[in-house]
Amino acid sequence: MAHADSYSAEPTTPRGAHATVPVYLAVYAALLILVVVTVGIAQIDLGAWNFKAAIAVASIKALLILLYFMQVRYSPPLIRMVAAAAFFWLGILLSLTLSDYWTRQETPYSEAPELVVWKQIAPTDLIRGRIEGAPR
Amino acid sequence: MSEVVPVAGPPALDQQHARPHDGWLAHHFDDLDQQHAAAELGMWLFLVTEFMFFGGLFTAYMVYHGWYGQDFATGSHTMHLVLGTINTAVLLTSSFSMAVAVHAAAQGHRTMLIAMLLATITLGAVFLGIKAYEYHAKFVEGLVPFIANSQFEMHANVGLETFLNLYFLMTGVHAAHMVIGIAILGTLVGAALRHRLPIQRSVLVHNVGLYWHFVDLVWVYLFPFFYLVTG
Repeated sequence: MAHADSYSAEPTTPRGAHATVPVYLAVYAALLILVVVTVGIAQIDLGAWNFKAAIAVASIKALLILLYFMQVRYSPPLIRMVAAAAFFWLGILLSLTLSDYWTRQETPYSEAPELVVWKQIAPTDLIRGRIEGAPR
Repeated sequence: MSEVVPVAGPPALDQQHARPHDGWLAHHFDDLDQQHAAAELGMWLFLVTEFMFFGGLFTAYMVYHGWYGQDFATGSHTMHLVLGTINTAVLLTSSFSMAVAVHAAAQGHRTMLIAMLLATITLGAVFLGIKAYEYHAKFVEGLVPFIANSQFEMHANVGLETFLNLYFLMTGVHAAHMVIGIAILGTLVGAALRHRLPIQRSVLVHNVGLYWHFVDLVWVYLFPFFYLVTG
């Protein structure tokens, strides 16, 4: 085994020790500031943009946690690829699902009464029997 | 299995086990770097399944938010924003202390590691305590959907009921992850106190840190989902 010769008696620098405490402090401070920012934005009425802004701020926080606390930025390419794959698959799940549900009311495909009912209400309303004349 | 056969062959495995600093090296790895890379990769693969697990709940939330936006805003106003904000800060602080714990382990500072792990456990417990108080408040207000009482009529408002169901389901699953995390941190502290932890090269501390940060990351999304919905 060629590897046997490459050992040193002293442990080498441990992996994943690249970020320092000042970096963690800076990230922590940024995260706390972003909490204040997101709570502040929620106090202003931006209509539909409130939700989008909240998701955007949360995503910035998530990115900071991933890159620095979870050390993805300092990790080998394989780990980075796995982390990215998680979000890629989440993206498939969210985008394919929501591209259906979030666009139903804007989809002009038929004015048949039962379809008009279907695309404007939630199935749970159908189950509760709240919509008169809804298809069963 | 491991029968000792006196034949001349590569003595590499015996040599490895004889090395003083490599006592934690499993025989099927070439060196500690490889062993740690494998352990870290395994942890990340587990976390990917966790992303997808919470991702399904996130997707459900998004769909229902699209349907019941107004009711979700109503439900969000029943949440205790101050407590939610404090809890977010508490959890972010625990993530910071966990990051410092991982750093201390990498530097071989055992005392610092134990102190930071204990700080993380304490902050996690504070989070769960505040969460328990919030659950209790919801119960007193009669806003627990699956326990029908006089103040919340079942199925009277499907949107609000869905919001509260999602709230208890998602924060409940999150809290369960926190309880598991605190238990694992406790065993880490115990191992470190008994000198059973290979501190400086410990991928274990690193992996537990990844888990803890992941739980923090989930909360980063749960907080605006349930406390900051306007409309």
